[in-house]
Amino acid sequence: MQKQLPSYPSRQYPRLPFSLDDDHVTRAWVMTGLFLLALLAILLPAYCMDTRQLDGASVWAKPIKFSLSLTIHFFTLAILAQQLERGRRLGMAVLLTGYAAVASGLFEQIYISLQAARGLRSHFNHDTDFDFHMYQLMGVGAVLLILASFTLGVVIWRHGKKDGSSYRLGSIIGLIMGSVLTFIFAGYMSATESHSVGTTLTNTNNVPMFGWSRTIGDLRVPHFVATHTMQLLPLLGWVLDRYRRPSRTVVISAAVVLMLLSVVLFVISISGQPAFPVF
Amino acid sequence: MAPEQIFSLANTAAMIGWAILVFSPRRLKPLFMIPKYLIPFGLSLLYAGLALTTFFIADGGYSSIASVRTLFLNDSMLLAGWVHYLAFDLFIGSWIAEKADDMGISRLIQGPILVATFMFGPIGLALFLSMRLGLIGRGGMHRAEAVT
Repeated sequence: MQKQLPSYPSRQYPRLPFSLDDDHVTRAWVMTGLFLLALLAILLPAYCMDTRQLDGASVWAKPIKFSLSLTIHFFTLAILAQQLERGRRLGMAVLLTGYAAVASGLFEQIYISLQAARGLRSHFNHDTDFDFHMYQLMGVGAVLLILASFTLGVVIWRHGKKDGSSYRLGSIIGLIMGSVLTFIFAGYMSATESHSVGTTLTNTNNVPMFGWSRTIGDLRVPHFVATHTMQLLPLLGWVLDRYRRPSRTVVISAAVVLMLLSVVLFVISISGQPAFPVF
Repeated sequence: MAPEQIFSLANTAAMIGWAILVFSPRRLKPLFMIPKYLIPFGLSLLYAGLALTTFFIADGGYSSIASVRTLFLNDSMLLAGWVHYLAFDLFIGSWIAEKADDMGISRLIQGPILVATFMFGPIGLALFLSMRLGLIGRGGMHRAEAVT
């Protein structure tokens, strides 16, 4: 691979408050995260100047949400992987799934952005053969994205430094549970061919920023909670350790609460009810 | 030579430059000189020939949309404008590639940025500059320099 990576005189990412290793897997994840974040710089002007709408929102709303979400995903992988020895991080399992996730993330984000620019749907699009095959490819990409986080969770569990910290426990449960639940909820969403359950006359008055429906079931809500468990649990663990209150009980309870929460939101959504109804 | 012929010649030259930039190994320094200097320089000379023989005698100018439109109704000037894009985009693309190598950005991620620069110049530049913001030190100095 890249044998002659330049070495650096000081910390490699001077803007970060913590240090990351300089191996090429971490680097690929950080750079992908930065690239996705940089995309916001060109998506936001388009969002501000474009009047075209798709399903009641700006055509650019979706690529903006995806770039934020995928940025978080890749930074999470890079940060949590620091619990592994460098050799383990460059081992076959993490390396292969890691690079597959990078390729998938770039593909998904670029395709979603291009479809938005054309004013077309990216997911659930059966209009032409091309759109449909690309939608199927995106399914493969989505699975590869969470395969990386799942694999990282398992490798940290098996081979990470067993220091009994809440951070370690939160990382393992967060990555594995977040990936599995995301796989189930997003898989169900793609099987039913829509993120909405029920029909609505109004697309207005959605949840600000997130765009979730407040009148019918919206499967993106449980997907959101499940996926971001990957950040919440490690963060909780880190905070517990930081304030010298490491606790298996707290982390496990939080995991159970998040799992129940996402399952309840899923049940609410598939029954056609909004998670945030208008009162 | 007819403008159409010059157009396809210039396009081919630019395409060769972009292909070298995106796909060839950067360790071959002399090869990198082709997209960075040789082709943009050649295109710039072509631009000089086109613009200097046309601009001062053609109708229109740079002062309003209407006058720019009038100017580019002239095929030689339109071609010059296109060659301007080709030359500057390729030069900027090479600059991005060079800086990105220094910062250790893998080719997988350089790819989309370079393609964006090729297709929509400023979008690629904005993407790269935004990425770079996250990689420079607090003092504004570019600390991520290779020392090997």
